[in-house]
Amino acid sequence: MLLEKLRLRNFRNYTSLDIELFPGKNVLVGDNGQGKTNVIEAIHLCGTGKSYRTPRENELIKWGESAFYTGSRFLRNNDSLLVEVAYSQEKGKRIRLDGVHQDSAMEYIGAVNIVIFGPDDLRIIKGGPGERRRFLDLEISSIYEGYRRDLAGYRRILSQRNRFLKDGRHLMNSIQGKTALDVWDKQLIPVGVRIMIKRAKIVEKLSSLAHAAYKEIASTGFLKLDYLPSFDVPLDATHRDKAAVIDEYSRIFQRELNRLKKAELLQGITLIGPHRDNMVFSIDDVDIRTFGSQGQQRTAMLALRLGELDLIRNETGEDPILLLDDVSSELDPSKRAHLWKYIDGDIQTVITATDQKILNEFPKSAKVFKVQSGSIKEVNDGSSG
Amino acid sequence: MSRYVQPMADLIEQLMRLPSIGPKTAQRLAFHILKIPKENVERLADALIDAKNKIISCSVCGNITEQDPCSICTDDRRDKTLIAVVEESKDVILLERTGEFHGLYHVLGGAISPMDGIGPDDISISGLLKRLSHGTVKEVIIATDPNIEGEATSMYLARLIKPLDIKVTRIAHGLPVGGDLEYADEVTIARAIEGRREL
Ligand SMILES: Nc1ncnc2c1ncn2[C@@H]1O[C@H](COP(=O)(O)OP(=O)(O)O)[C@@H](O)[C@H]1O
Ligand SMILES: [Mg+2]
Ligand SMILES: [Zn+2]
Repeated sequence: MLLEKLRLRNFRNYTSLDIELFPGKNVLVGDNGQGKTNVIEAIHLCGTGKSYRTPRENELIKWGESAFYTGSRFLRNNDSLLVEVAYSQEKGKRIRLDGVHQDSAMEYIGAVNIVIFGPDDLRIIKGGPGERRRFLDLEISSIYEGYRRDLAGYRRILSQRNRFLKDGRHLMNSIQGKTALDVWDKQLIPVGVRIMIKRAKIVEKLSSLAHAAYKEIASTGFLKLDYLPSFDVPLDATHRDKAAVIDEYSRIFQRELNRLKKAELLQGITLIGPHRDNMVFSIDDVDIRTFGSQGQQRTAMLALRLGELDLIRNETGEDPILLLDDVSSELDPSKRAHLWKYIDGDIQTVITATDQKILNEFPKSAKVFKVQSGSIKEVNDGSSG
Repeated sequence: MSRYVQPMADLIEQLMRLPSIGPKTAQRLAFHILKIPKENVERLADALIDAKNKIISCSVCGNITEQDPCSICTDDRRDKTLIAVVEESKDVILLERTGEFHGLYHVLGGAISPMDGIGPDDISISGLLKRLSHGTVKEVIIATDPNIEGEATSMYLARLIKPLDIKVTRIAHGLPVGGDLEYADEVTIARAIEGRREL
């Protein structure tokens, strides 16, 4: 995967930006508040369709303007791909792939694989379960088309079911009322189960890859990720016959929904399902969300990102694009050394830094951009002070 | 001048009440209406009033019609043992165009959708059950849209109809999932009728 060109119009503090990126390392250098992270955000937006910094697209529009546009030309499996994400206050968000409009119900684009490492990352470990679900969904969506469709479908069924639980509970005394709820259960369960099985499988793979990376970076400790679904199911799913697993999960899901029906009607909300899933990070079987040191959490996060990188490589046969925001303030020199070693090959990387000195940490073949208050100048030779 | 004169503002406001017409389109239409000859505007206005006055929904099947019952319900050549259940009148036109379906219709007038405040009692389900109680109908083909709401409606109907000893089939999903009957071409719909499966 390669990002060749990036075009921004009225995005954050950029009025108009056109840059061409280098297939290897690209370093954006500039003081704080100049617009380095904004570029990282724009690239990530083109890959995923969503900003990782805010759920409100409005904030991405340059102050005083009414719309923004981002266009990225990628090279995927040696085929050119143009991704355009635009948002206007009047028309909302529009996404086009090679000029073709995408269904706005899809939450993620998934045509481009991107791994990002930045200052906000720790919230995946330290934040609520929603952060971890978002991480997983983004990850799996970028690899599996079907998963994105299932997520969109699940969201819609869930909204309908929740609405019924709120507004339709008075119907529940009749047979018809029970049927009216059942038509949502019967749709929620198969989609929900497919999502759960995919998550279980991916977390297992990610866990062993992140574990391997962690072992290289840290001298001690056994990093593990565990998928924690909202209700108990046997988690050896990946090793058994798929049809049997689907069957078993569906039966348990239905049984639990029946058991919770009273409470759900009382609260007007669906209490179990993939929208309530969690994931646990542990080192030597201790949950590091609450018991890990800051250093352990950072190292685990780096290991997770590197595991993610390997996972995408394994599953898609292609390198993702790597975005590293402010790594010199996030990682100490020895961890950075591990990182550079890990991405030694020709994986395309965009790195932001306040200090040019970061260039001394890896061989010279980098393209350097100087970022200053919403404009970017290419610097020919990054090594000259 | 920052505001339109009153008659123009009224026209724009009325146009904006129509579905999928936003402020910009409404403005464009309003200016267009001012520009065209007066008799064209009168023809448009007459057509609106005429349609509203003359078109009613069939008391049997719910399809739009000029006389009640509609021409399909009163057509002796049609197979009265077969009913296709659709969401909207426009779906009747789509199925008719395929030339493959010779039974009767039942127009629900929507699909079950709690988010839109539409429950089973808000669409014409009791009307359908009443028709089925006469005992003539042997098969009901459910041709609601292949999306989440259409699927929910289909399941709901199947649960209610099956105990009546009537065969219930669902139009096959050669149709785009998450779609709308409207977006499928005639060949696709014809194939979907042929390949219907029993629920
Ligand atoms: N919607 C916006 N319109 C204009 N400027 C913005 C917008 N959002 C953020 N900014 C500006 O962008 C700058 C932050 O850019 P950022 O890329 O985060 O900086 P850094 O170079 O430190 O990574 C700040 O100066 C902020 O005022
Ligand atoms: Mg920054
Ligand atoms: Zn009729």
